[in-house]
Amino acid sequence: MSPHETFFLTPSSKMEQFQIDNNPYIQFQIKDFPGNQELKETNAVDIQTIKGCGSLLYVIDAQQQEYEQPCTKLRDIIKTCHAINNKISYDVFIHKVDTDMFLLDDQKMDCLNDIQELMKQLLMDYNLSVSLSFYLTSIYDHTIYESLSKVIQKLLPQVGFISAMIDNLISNSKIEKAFLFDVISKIYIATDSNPVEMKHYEICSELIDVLIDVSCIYGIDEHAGTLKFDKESSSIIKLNHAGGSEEKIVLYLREVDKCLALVCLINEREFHKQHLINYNIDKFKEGLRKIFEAAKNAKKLQ
Amino acid sequence: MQPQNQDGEPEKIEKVLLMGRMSAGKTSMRSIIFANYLARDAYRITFTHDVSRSRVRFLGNLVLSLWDCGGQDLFMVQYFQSQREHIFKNVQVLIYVFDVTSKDFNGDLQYYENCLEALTELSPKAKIFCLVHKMDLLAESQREKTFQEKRMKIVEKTKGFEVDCFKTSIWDETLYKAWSQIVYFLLPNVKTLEKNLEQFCQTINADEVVLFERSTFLVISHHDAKGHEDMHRFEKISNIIKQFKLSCIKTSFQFQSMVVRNQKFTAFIDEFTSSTYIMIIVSDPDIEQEAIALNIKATKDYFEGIVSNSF
Ligand SMILES: Nc1nc2c(ncn2[C@@H]2O[C@H](COP(=O)(O)OP(=O)(O)OP(=O)(O)O)[C@@H](O)[C@H]2O)c(=O)[nH]1
Ligand SMILES: Nc1nc2c(ncn2[C@@H]2O[C@H](COP(=O)(O)OP(=O)(O)O)[C@@H](O)[C@H]2O)c(=O)[nH]1
Ligand SMILES: [Mg+2]
Repeated sequence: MSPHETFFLTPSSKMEQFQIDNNPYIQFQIKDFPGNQELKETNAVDIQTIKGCGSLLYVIDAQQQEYEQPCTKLRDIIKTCHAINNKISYDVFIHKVDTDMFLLDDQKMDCLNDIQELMKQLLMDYNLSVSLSFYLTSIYDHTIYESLSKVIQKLLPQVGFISAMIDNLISNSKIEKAFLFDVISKIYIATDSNPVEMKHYEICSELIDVLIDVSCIYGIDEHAGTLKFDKESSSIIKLNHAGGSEEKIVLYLREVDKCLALVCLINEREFHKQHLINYNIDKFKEGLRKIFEAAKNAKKLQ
Repeated sequence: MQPQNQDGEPEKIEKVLLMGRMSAGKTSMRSIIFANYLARDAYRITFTHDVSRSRVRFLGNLVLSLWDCGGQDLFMVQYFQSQREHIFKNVQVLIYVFDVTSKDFNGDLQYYENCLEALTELSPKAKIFCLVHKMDLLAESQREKTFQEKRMKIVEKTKGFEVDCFKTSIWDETLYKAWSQIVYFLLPNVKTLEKNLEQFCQTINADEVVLFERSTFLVISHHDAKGHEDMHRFEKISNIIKQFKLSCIKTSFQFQSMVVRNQKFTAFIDEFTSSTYIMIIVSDPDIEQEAIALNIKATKDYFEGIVSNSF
């Protein structure tokens, strides 16, 4: 669904459930609760939900300038949940920061600070100490994907290993930055340990759009309905720096597992060694498989 | 005497009128096609005061002089009276935009007839295109039927001219389809180009070769050796690339070229002549990427001349 199509959404009236399982190794469930529903410690279904919950994501509409009420509500939710399951991490999306109220970054930061401060106070009053993170988001840019990526990464125990492998890969192949993407949701599962620049993430996720859209036109099977992203899926995009610099960069995408793509930013000067890069990516692919298999076996043993 | 560009080469200037009632979507579509706007930013556009003129260079030496005429009744009345000659003289193309959700279609038609009347008098050779716009606001199942109804009425009112009607929306590829057709009309010698593309396509054993204008990514010419089913594919590609180019600008990069592939195909999109991009689709797995790149390089200069002679 594209952002402008969301205008036609009706308010959710009951809890809806979604399964994310594009790749057999990366699976989780999203339960979407309507704004007016409450979680009760007396309700057996709710208790079950809270027990199985890894992350609780709470969305605050940043346009509503009154934050007291949603924050108090969040505190009550945390209080209920914490008593049942103290391992939950809480993630707060301060949402719709694309509107005219937030033209300046300062305005966004003010809003973030206000809410953060307020939540701290509220939780202190009840002596609750939990892991609580805040994100500024909007569906009109990439912040929503970026933030969701971070939430998901906290839930995947293998992320540390995968990141270490990506670190290894980029130093061996002189890659500047690499992301491991779920191509359907465009969430990134892992990246190297260099800081993430928003523009790099944006352009890499746009590349996935291009790849899928073009494949939908020219790469379709007679067996309709099959995925356009297959073992041979790859893409090379060359970009100039707009600032007049002579440097060029290459965005290089390769399939590494079902629905998983590795997207690399490489300085064009290094790209003539494409066979070496390919060899290293093949090695990475093998490593990834092993990590996933190990995780699967560990789960079986439990 | 013919006007010339700074290199002393002759320029061809075409006057294109963009008309329709207020809020029909004229400025939005012009901004998206010619001025690098994202569809989702179109809500920032405010009404056009009087006539907003812009010159767009196309394929090097073809200059479109676009007259975006604000559609408020107040302005419209002036166009037909005090500014009549100024507006309607020497017009090559009229693009008239109907808002498909308009409550006053008969009123819209009345203004359209007034335009035709003025053109009969001042530019009887003009070519007319009508766009039935904002189709995205109708349910999918209603679109074709409503469009045909409107089209019938438009054709009925169009006397003494030929008219082509398109259904469009800034939210999908239909906008590119319509504008590609309009541009196609302005390139009378495009057949030679097509012939040459066909030859090139056969030489490199490709499935399909497409030429896009460099700044707008409108389709100029193509050759399809395999018979692809999707009629709208070029407009979709235009849309995809244009979106990607715009995202690049935001992130301080500039798009140069791309290769996209999966088990079924490889697509190359690369800079070609000074005013075009080329797209080559290959499904034969034995064709080497390097070979395609070399072929593109080798034919660039030859096509440079053909492209600039296509109008
Ligand atoms: N849903 C939808 N809205 C559109 C489309 N095209 C334009 N709009 C919206 O229509 C409104 C008016 O668009 P403009 O481009 O200013 O219309 P105009 O014809 O130039 O109007 P005047 O300058 O007053 O003559 C804007 O809010 C656009 O966002 C479309 O295809 N679909
Ligand atoms: N400006 C803006 N509007 C948004 C954004 N996200 C959602 N909306 C709008 O908010 C409305 C309600 O969204 P919905 O997802 O149904 O909210 P829910 O009730 O929490 O499920 C819709 O009309 C959306 O178009 C955003 O990031 N920015
Ligand atoms: Mg306007």
